[in-house]
Amino acid sequence: MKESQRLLDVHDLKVWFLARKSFLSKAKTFVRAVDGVSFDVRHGEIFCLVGESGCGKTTIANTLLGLVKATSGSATLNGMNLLSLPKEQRRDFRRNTQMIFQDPYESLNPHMTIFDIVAEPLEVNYLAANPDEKESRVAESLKAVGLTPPQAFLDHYPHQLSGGQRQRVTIAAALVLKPALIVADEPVSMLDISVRAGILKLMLDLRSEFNLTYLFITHDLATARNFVDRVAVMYLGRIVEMGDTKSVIETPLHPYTKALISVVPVPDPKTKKQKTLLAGEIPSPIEIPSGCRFHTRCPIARESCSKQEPELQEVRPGHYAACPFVDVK
Amino acid sequence: MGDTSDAVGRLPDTLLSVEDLKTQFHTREGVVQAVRGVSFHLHDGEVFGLAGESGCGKTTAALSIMRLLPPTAEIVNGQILFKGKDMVTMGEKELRTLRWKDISIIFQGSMNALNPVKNISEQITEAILLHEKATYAEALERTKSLLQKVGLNVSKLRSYPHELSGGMRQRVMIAMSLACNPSLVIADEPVTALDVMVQAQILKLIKNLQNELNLSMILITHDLSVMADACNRLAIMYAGKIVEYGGVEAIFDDPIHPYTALLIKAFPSIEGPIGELRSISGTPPALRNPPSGCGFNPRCPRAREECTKSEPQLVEVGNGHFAACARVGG
Repeated sequence: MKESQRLLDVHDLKVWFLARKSFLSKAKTFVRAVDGVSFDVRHGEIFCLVGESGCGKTTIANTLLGLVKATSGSATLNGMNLLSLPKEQRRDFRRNTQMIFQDPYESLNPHMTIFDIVAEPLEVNYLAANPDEKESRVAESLKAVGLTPPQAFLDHYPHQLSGGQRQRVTIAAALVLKPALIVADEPVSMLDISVRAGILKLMLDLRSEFNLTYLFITHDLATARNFVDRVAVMYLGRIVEMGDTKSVIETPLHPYTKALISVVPVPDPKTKKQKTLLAGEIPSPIEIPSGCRFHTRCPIARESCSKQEPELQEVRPGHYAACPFVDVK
Repeated sequence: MGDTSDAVGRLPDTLLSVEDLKTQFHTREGVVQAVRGVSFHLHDGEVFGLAGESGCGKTTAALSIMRLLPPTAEIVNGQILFKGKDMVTMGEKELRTLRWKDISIIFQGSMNALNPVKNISEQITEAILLHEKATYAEALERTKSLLQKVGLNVSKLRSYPHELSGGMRQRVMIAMSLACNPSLVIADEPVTALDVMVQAQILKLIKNLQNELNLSMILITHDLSVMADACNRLAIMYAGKIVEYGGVEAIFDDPIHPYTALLIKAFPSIEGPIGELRSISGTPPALRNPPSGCGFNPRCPRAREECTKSEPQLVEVGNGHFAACARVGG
């Protein structure tokens, strides 16, 4: 792939948290939340990190936004490493990455009006030269997310809006800085089903209108299938499979992906799927199993799996899996 | 609805029958009509689903059945007949003997429903000792066998809730709901906060237990894909009313009410063709001041003039399949 097609390039990212120090010895234990993750996001695409809770997907998002410090690795956006920016450049550069949070009931300050919420990013970045410009940029942003006419919403408080409208406000606040990359962490999972499609459709419209790129984070494979271009499946801090959405969902390679897809309930009572239920639960990221970290729950594990950690291999064009025993049929 | 509902398949094996239930909340801003006339029947050994989006009244309906409403709420109309006895008029003392032993509930959010300062064994044995004549040793034995039944190792007996994962806590909640051998279990969003793999494990457990113990269940969730998987019959609620109900296959194959049809279309699926996801325009009505006529008419793409005037009743559109829409003469 040409360098120019890439917007974001994450390389061997590790984010470890100090869990505890032993009382007497100097031994330290770490929560290895993200443990060697590499992927790239291309201009204009929707790239999805999917996995169960604790797999590290949200930690990656927080690291890219500078909310959490990376332990090692790099994340390059437009040629600049986000993780080691000099302090002076940090604010300017971070404007390029904005976030849409999961819960519009909690992410909006109840004491602020819609105008203040959407104008705040402009203020902290010293971007609005005068009140008129500020107002017009806020109005433009609200219009773009379908809150029209904007004047009807400016003086409202979040509690006066429905869940779907609140999420539109969150999107407007992310959009007002004209970012290149929007990180959306479960943007629809707190919303009622009947308004979800509307928010997703809005995100698609904004992508073409403002030339946006999304890093989409979700646990919901069914939504991912209907919305994203490429998907990376994470397990316990690592990507186990990555590729075009259609290829990954319809012909999964890694045994974890296969099991995960098999248990997603289908909204059709006549579909009787063969479910692969994995025993037990995800191990603790403090004590990650040796070798392939999935081997303790893997239905096809062999002895060698506990010894060597598999790397992502390109099994089909553009479709990668980290398992030496994938069966390609 | 009152007259028709008796004809609505009330069979001799009816365990619970709810007739024209209306529940209101008294708030500072006025009266909220959370449940506006709900009727359904539950047969022995079946899993009955109550589905709908937030605010449709499904949880309030469940709490009404358990008579566990908060002080601001009251049942203003209707009957709840459990094994022939009306729970609406029942005294607190009689209710207390009924809860746990006859009807139990699995609450939404297992992490908040367990007592954080008591270990698992204390919480389950307490329930048994309060409701049954049993010695502590007997209650402890029962607790151990319950834990095994829900797939938890007996070594977890002395664990506190914070030491367990979300899935394990939900298993504890299920064990607790079965502590006094109830014939009806109400499960309110039992798998909603769980990861998809854990969700599949818990749903399988519920299904196995339901078969093994011949339990009747009311399953409440917003997630139609879970319903498709787990229910025999299903009711779709909107704005405090049941708009459609019937066998789960009939509802999914041939939804009659426009809301049901739109809701099913709004669900993304991991299988089948990828269609464009469709949202339903507008928002659910505020139940402080519900719309006149059909509750769905302000959002309904097929609404006609009469829909704003008269309230449609549930009519039978197929074998045991009912819908409340003016288009089918409701």
